[in-house]
Amino acid sequence: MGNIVVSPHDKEGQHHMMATPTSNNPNGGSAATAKNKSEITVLLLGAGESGKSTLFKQVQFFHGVGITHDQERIELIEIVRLNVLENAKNLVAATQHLNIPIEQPENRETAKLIINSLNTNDLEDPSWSKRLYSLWKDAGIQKAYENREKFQLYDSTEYLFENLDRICSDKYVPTVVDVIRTRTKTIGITDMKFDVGDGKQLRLVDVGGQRNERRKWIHFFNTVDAVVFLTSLSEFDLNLYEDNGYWRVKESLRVFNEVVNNALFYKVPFVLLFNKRDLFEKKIATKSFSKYFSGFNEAEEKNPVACIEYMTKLFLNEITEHPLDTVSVKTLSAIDHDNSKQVFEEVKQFIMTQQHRE
Amino acid sequence: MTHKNNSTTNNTTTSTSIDQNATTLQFQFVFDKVILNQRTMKLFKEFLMKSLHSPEAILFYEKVLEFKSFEGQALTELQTKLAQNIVERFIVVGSAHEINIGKRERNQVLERVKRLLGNSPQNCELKHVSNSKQMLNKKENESDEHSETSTNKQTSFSMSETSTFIMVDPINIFDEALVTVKRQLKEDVFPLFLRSDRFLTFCKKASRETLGEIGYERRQCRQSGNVSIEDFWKFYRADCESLNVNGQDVKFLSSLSIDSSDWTLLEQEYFKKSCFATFVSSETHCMIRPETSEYRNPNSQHIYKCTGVINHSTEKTIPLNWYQWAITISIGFISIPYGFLVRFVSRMFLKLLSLKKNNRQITSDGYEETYSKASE
Repeated sequence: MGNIVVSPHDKEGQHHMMATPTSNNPNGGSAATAKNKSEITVLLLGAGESGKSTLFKQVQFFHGVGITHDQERIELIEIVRLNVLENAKNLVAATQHLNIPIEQPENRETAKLIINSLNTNDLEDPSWSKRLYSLWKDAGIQKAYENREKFQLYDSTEYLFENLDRICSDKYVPTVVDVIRTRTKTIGITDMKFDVGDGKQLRLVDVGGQRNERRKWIHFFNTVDAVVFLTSLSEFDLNLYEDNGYWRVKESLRVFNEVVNNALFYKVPFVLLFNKRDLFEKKIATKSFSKYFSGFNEAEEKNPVACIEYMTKLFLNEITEHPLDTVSVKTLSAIDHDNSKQVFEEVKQFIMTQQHRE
Repeated sequence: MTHKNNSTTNNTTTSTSIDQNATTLQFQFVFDKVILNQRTMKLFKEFLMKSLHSPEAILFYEKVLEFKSFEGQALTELQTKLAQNIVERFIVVGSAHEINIGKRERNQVLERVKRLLGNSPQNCELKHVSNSKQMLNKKENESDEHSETSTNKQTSFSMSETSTFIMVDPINIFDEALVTVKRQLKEDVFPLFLRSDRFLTFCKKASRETLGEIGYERRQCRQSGNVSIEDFWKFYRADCESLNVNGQDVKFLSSLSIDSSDWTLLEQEYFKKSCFATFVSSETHCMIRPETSEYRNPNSQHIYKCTGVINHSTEKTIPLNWYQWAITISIGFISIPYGFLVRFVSRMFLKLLSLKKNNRQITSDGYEETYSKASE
């Protein structure tokens, strides 16, 4: 049918390389040629654990550049298992801290092993799947989990424990969903490039969100064409990792204020993404939202739309310098493949049309 | 080492990418080995500094190792100075190379160093600890509460929280922070490092022995050829479904592996709407596609990615250019008279043959059958 077959393999190879960081010289003079250039740099910004890297990974996956090879996913086995252990350790530590006893004696044994000696290689043994799962289902641990706002715990805890039978097996190879759900704290600055049509390339930059990491953001500020700011909806009852006792929403608002009102970004399209909508909806069903926001009408606190509207107002009030017509607000659930695909597509469209207008 | 000149553009990356995959995929590299090896450690450091703009984690790691390298029970003057230096450079909030650790670890280290320096004969004061005194006082209160409650504890294993305030070997004061930093390097940076140009260029030049030092060769049995369909479907169901690939496709693909281990997906770039996945095998010389995919139209790339059941690679199709078209069409035209000729000739030939046979009166059943069919 008019087609001939050529050159196996090379397309794969190209994709791999595009996923690797290429950012050795971010100040490489591209600022001067801001107009008509073929590369659009989009920064993903936000405080710690707002889901920047999760979205980044999703974008990688639906552009076919993520870690999809079996061999490469094998490298991540240890990281997934470290996540499991970290979660288990945090939970056990929390039962001590909150003075909630672990009820079953055999679970207490398991807890002891987790704290003292368990390492990731042990998890190849399927018997650990049962032991860890029974620990997870222990009334004490569950009670600690219900009070998880009082200590630091990853959002993926429940998912990982529910999938222990796969993870604790010598045949285990992480799935795409596993890769998305694993939490790793991002260090420094990573980027990826992909084509967006019209001979243009989009360069997406992912950064770490903790306070010390934010000092590195400046490296990219003068080459930016668009900013996507993420904030977690479900952080309203949580405190900072790097400064326990400091309310996360306050930190997010502060960072947002600094970024959105930065003189370098006046002319840049700005997208505010409220992430973790799924978690948020679950959370407000059981927890009081109005307890944390004095200006919020208590009667509306079970209505996610009203809550999100309130949060939106809160964030938009921070904008003092940036022109409002180049700011777009959306909600997102970054762990959901389809949702993040759709939202990212919208964000891309928004950025492209804004670029075009200029 | 001359790895400074690492590329920022894609032109150079693609050239290295093709054959690197072959060698690097054969090895599974181990983080602890990579950072113990001098050469790769240097690369890793360079990668962190230049590509990720994050020198602090690895610098902290090196300093703490230096601190720990001294022998003997009591700390020397040099060591206390070093400890003080580490705190001022890496631990204190707002310091030049502040590392990414939680408040708990930070306070732990600050508290320990304060005690250590308070007890030491040099009696040197920490400038910055006073800044965070407020934090520490609060922390102490917390810990008091904590030790009260710990009497009620049913379980009695040692927690880092409590052990801090009991007694810590001075040499281990940075251990918790070190563990956190090492984990960040391992989980976040290391996978990126393995795909970086810096490392791939190194792998290309390095000998097998060198690579063996920093990793081990992959066990081939780990390859997906040995995964049963049931296991595969159980593990990857969520992935597959999110990409519109169903159990039928997976079953189909695994059935292919019985015939040949080397199937390739035909990627139809020419027709942008690739409507079904077609697989080509160089071993058995045939092309095949899953029946079900025709009406569901799953993305062929997705099927291919979801199903690690067979050894696969992608082959691309490209449109023909004008002279290829010309050759094809001319062959077609030329074949018309030939076809006509051959058809005509074969009839004549068969007739001649049958005449001869009638003359010779050969009576072979099989022959007569074929003959009669041909004459019809």
